[in-house]
Amino acid sequence: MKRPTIYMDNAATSWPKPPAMLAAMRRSMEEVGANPGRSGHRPAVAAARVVHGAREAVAELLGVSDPLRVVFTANATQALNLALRGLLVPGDHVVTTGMEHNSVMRPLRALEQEEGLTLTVVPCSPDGRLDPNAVEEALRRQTKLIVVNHASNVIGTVLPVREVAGIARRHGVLLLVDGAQSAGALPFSVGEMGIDLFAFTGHKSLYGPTGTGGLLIGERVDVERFRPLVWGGTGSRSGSETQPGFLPDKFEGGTLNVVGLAGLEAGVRWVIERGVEEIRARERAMTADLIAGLRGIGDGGTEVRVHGVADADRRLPTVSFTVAGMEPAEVGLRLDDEYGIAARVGLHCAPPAHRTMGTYPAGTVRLSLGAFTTQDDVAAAVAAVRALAREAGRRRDARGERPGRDTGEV
Amino acid sequence: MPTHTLFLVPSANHAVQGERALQAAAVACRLIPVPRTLSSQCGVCLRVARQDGRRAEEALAAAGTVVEGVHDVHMPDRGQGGGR
Repeated sequence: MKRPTIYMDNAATSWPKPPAMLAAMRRSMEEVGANPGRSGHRPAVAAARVVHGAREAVAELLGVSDPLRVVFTANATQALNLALRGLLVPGDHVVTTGMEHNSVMRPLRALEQEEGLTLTVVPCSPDGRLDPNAVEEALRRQTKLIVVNHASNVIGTVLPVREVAGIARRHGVLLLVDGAQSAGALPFSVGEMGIDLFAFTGHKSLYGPTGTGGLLIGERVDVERFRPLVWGGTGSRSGSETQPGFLPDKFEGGTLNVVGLAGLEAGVRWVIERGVEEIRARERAMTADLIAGLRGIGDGGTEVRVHGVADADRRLPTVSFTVAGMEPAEVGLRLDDEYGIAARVGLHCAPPAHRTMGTYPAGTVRLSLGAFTTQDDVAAAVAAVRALAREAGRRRDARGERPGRDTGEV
Repeated sequence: MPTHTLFLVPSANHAVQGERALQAAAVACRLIPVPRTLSSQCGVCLRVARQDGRRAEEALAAAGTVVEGVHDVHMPDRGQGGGR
């Protein structure tokens, strides 16, 4: 496969990865290799240390005091399913938002249809902003859980999780945050913000491999009444045919992705070493340049529409745009074929967000920057989109859709 | 005559957490299979030299490590020592 010249799909998965992450995975396979917690010999103990090292790193970065409250899953989707299916029972009411990803909406809709859950989806503004007061107004006596996307995977808008956490606590309701996009990308502490359940993935801004992720479980969560998603061997309480009731074993039946967790620890340590604030500052500056560059294309920005909040301080380095007169699918294909730019097009597994934005069903083109994105990459992307927008403009002129427009080069 | 003190914990996860606490307190320790005479629950436990037992207990308590049992045992040292 020819390597894309410019990778701008970090919201899907970050790439490239730090060399230390790759080295850690190789070292794990070559020097460790055993199954953690399944035997008492030294290789198994070494494997258990690898897993615990990953817990400690995640706990340190995300502000959790007890690493044993870091439960590992294969990804954020599994973590979200664990929380939703493990905590909700028929008759419960859940409040969520109009900017959620399908990893939240699909299990919620399934629970609504199959298990008698009632659901309220609080609308957001077209640029993805959520009014916390609207969340509070949606609460009912039966509300058990509020589920909020920390930051949109479509347009990068950061939602007011701290305020919603305060509302949840005042009303005795749990808060589940989908942190798939925010973990490692924004500086925050899960503990300090008062978040009860935080789902994360390892392969985006934590710079670990795919196949890693987890759920942080706070002290307000009743672990005894929290059902596992998977029951099975844990290497603990082996004489019992009943799943252990303590963290993290209760929710980690089966062998963990040890080599992946070795990589996850290395990725997280890489982020910690560089500093989330420093990474964010660099990404924020490039995002501002990207937005300004795209908005500046054509006639006062009408040729290219950039969705989401304009302020780079209030969003992640994830930018969705549409080109007047050219479908997102064509834009994406041509960015890839003609300019070597990897972008994601369509609905980004978040149809509610696109309905909120007014871009359903066609979707948008999404460019998502990362720690390895350069200023040259941003400039190249803007130039490429400018060229495509000009072509789209010429097509529209030829069709008479822009009367009186100059069809020559700008 | 007991030679070592064993700390039984719920899981390997807790064992490694305890190991970290003991290392931070400069108490030499090793994770070993749980002797069947003490528990049928498999897994690993923390082993320290008998003379370090009290210091280890304090370090584990200070770190919040869940300890399910403490046992003084006689365990021939086959060159592995109390630590790793």
